[in-house]
Amino acid sequence: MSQPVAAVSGSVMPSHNARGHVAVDRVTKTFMTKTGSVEAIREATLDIREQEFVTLIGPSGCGKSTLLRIIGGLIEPTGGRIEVRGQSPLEAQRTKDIGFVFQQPALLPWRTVEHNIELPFELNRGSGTDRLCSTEEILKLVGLAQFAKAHPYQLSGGMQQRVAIARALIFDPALLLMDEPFGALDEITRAGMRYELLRIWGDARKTVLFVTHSIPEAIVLSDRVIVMSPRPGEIREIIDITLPRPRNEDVESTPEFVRLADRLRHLLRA
Amino acid sequence: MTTAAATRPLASPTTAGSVLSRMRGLGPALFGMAVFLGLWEAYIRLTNTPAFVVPAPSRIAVRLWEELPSYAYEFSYTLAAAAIGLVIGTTVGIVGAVLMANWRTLEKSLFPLAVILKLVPFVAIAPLLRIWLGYELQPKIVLASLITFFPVLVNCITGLRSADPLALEFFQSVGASRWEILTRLRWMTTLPYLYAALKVNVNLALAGAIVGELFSSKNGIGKVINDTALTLDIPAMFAAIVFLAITGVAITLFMNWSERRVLYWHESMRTVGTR
Repeated sequence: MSQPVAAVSGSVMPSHNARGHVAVDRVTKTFMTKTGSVEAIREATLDIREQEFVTLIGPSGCGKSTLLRIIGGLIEPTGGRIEVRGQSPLEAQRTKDIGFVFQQPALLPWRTVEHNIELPFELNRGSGTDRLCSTEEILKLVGLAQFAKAHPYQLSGGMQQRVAIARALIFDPALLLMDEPFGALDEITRAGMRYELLRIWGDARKTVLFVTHSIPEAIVLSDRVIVMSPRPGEIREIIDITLPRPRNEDVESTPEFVRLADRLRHLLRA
Repeated sequence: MTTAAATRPLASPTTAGSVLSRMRGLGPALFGMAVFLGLWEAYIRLTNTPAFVVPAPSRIAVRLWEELPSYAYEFSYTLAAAAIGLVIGTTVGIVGAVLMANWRTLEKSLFPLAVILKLVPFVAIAPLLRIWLGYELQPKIVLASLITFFPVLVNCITGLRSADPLALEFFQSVGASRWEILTRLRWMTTLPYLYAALKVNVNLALAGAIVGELFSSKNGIGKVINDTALTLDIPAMFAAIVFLAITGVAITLFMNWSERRVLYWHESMRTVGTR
């Protein structure tokens, strides 16, 4: 099943059996707390196409991380239905169709970089694991070729997060879920990581659902930006980002970018 | 490509430099020790204190040298009892922790029992163990395991529950089973906690074995101390105590060394290592 593909050549790497299609149908989530129930998400409906880069943006506590975790099968929804490549989220976990990158790298400190990346192959008896490429190649793709034998504590925060991205990509998931992956980085590193991620995504074309607070991040990365309203989280608006690809730093000073940023700011304030 | 990423040097845990600097760190301790022993020696000689009251350090040293082979032989019994007891206590503690960390009901019903067992001063049950188990190794082993299981149990329960929540979510997101999460994530997170318990336990296990020997024994360093007390051979008694102090230091150094080897990846190792 595995089909190693040269990763760094800028080629598109289709996994032959991936439809990469994500359907979220009227998903609701209500948390029960001691003081009563809190409605976190109300009737979220959304479709993501294969190889599409979609961003969820919204104020803190609008339920965007919760929605991401529901799609990834980490939280049960109160109502509604989710399909990832025609499977339920839990089935998708078992067939390793979901790759997660969190706000913190969450690497295993006792493992070297390469052993962290290979962890998914050891779990669940390696079932459903196509290999995107060799560990060497994925490390080259995230720019850490010479750090295979290093331990996480020897790397900077940005480098650790790139290891986490490599760990989520290596088993060729149909869907990559990223929960504010650059939220814990300093502003300089963070701005650089945006384009780093775009370059990686350009190589390993994946369907990506990305959660962020940052308006420039959302615009630079996305095909579509989904704006959520504060609690209860509702999808307020879906904005197409038609900026041409490939994008680089210059895109942030184009009139189109400024117009989109204004619009998003307005929507988030309202 | 490489963003503003400072990489720390890939230094091995023990380099020649760090050994040297650690030796230099010992200087003041050795000096303090020498002054203490010197004053002790001087006092004994000046006041002509008889050896059966307090022997001079030189006298103890000579006696220790003479008795070293027999002490080493007797100590092997003590060490065996302590080691076997430690292994049993640690195993019971780990297994208990895994069970209790997974099943709250089990924790609620068994943990109070463990606490009560722990609260009984272990010296108090030594005579009972002699009646039940006799004069060989068994009562010392039981004593050592009774003392050592509780720190392991408590620390391992904490360790098993302190896995990084995001790492847990990652394991879950790729369909890891409960067993895989236990062996590949929780167990490794527990290791530093387990080690902390072990470092306390090696000395507790020895103490347990020696107490057992004081009450009843054919062999062991505890029996040696008991015999010297009966014959009022105070220099030999001091020599045995010094022997125990030296082995205690050796065991502690070994534990610290092996901890650095096993837990080199843990943050606690780096805050200590920068001294």
